[in-house]
Amino acid sequence: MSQVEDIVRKIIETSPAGNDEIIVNDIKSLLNNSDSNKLISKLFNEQYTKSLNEGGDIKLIRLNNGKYSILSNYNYNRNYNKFFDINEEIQFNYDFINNKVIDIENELPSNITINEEINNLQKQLNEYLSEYYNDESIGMVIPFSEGYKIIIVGERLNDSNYYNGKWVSVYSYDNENKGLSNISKIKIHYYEDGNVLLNNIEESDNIGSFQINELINEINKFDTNYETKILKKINELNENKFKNLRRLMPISRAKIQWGKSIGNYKLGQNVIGGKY
Amino acid sequence: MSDEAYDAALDILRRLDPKSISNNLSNICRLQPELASDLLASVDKPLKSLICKKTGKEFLCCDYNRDGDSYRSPYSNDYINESDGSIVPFDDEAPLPSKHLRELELIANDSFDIYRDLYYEGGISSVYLWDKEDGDATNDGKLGFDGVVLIKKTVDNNSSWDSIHVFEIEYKQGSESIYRVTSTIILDLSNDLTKSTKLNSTYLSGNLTRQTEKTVSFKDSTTHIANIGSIIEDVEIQMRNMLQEVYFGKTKDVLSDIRSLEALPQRNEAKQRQESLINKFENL
Repeated sequence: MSQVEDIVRKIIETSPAGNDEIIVNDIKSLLNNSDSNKLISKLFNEQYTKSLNEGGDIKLIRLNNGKYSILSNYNYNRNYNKFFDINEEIQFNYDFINNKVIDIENELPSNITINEEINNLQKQLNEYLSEYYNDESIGMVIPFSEGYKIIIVGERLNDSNYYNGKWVSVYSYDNENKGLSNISKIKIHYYEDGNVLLNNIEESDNIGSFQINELINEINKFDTNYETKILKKINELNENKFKNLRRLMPISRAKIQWGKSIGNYKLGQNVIGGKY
Repeated sequence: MSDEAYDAALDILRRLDPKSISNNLSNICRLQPELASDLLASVDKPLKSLICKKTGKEFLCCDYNRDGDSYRSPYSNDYINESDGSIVPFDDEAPLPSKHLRELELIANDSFDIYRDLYYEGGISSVYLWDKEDGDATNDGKLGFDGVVLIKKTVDNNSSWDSIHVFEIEYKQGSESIYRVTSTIILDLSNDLTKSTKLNSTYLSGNLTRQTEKTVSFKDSTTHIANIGSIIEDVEIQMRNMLQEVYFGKTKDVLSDIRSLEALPQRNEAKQRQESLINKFENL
């Protein structure tokens, strides 16, 4: 069993952005046994309750009232094995096989209390997201022992055109030294006539020290810099790697004359000493 | 059930991180051992290479030059053991091309070596041909053959291009043949990883596949090599453009679609300016 478990864990870790439904069904067909639902649920739960720097991920989900929420390490109550949603003030489990929220309880874990500061931050975060992110996105401010986690998840899912993308960002704000740090992860998957993935993960330990009322503005600045950097990196991969792998046209600047005379290219090369 | 598992395996391998394809493929083969040979034959993964013991040259390995755990060298026609690099003693059972086809195979390897040099300025190429079930390839070219053209180039130890073109030649009529080519290009691009303890990595990795069918006239069996060469040259030019579009165009579009670099009011303003400009032109 443990070998099977390791294999399924690896599959889930390397699965693309977007709906997990197809992956769940494929794994079920591959395992072909009655216990597969239990194993799949356990491992998906594990994937979405690991922190990003340990290879975990965050899932954007819909609550039963249609609003977005998240499954993550940062809104998971380990004593209770339940996720919680600050905005809706609920706790819940997630059914990974049928993709829905279950076992809803109308209260937050006892160690989570909401105050004016959280409400303010959340309001500013929502405003920022509505200006910069598309509609398939959510931001959540979550208090933890040292300060706040600010989570942003943005998706663009378009299965009918064979692409999906997800941007996950976790900011940590330390109330005492006012320090802000971040870990961000971007996955963009294009799979028409193939399977292409842009994968990025980046950790930034010390962005700076800020007062709490500057936070969302600084997050905006950081996101913009980060996005600009990724776009630049994509261009660099084009300029420095792709173009050095295969030329668009041959060195001889014309399509090749195939057939018996193709040997002449080699002859030409020998005559001018390796240059065409 | 086995069909369902096979379809599921192909479907999931088309979706999982392409950088982990070799790992996921061998893992899925462990889950479904009876599907292993079919899966290994139909899922493309980055090409490995071995050294031909007689010539000292490097050649590429795929399922089409494989026999058990050894691979046939296109230079010496010997099978080379994957684990220790030794020449496998002659074995009746190991597939070899017929005498005439082997001559064509050598021509094909020389031709694609020149092609590789002109377009890739480096890397390795290997061509393998095999006779059809109806009979051995003939001189007049009427009974053709099947084959695979492989090209691999790596730069900076972290980025690579693998071309896999599997083709079949079917005689049509008169002096015409139909050429069917299934081409996969595996392109793996990544930035140098900095040696810091912090996570920091970016890669663009994956593959695109396309099928091409073309009817072309031929004179004799060697013309097939020239025809295949010219078809593959065209396919690679088109696919390079496709790769450029998907890798660098699409991914950037989707990213900017998730988060815009400009705030909504600015975007609306720009949209309004554009609309009013259009209106002005229309009212002229």
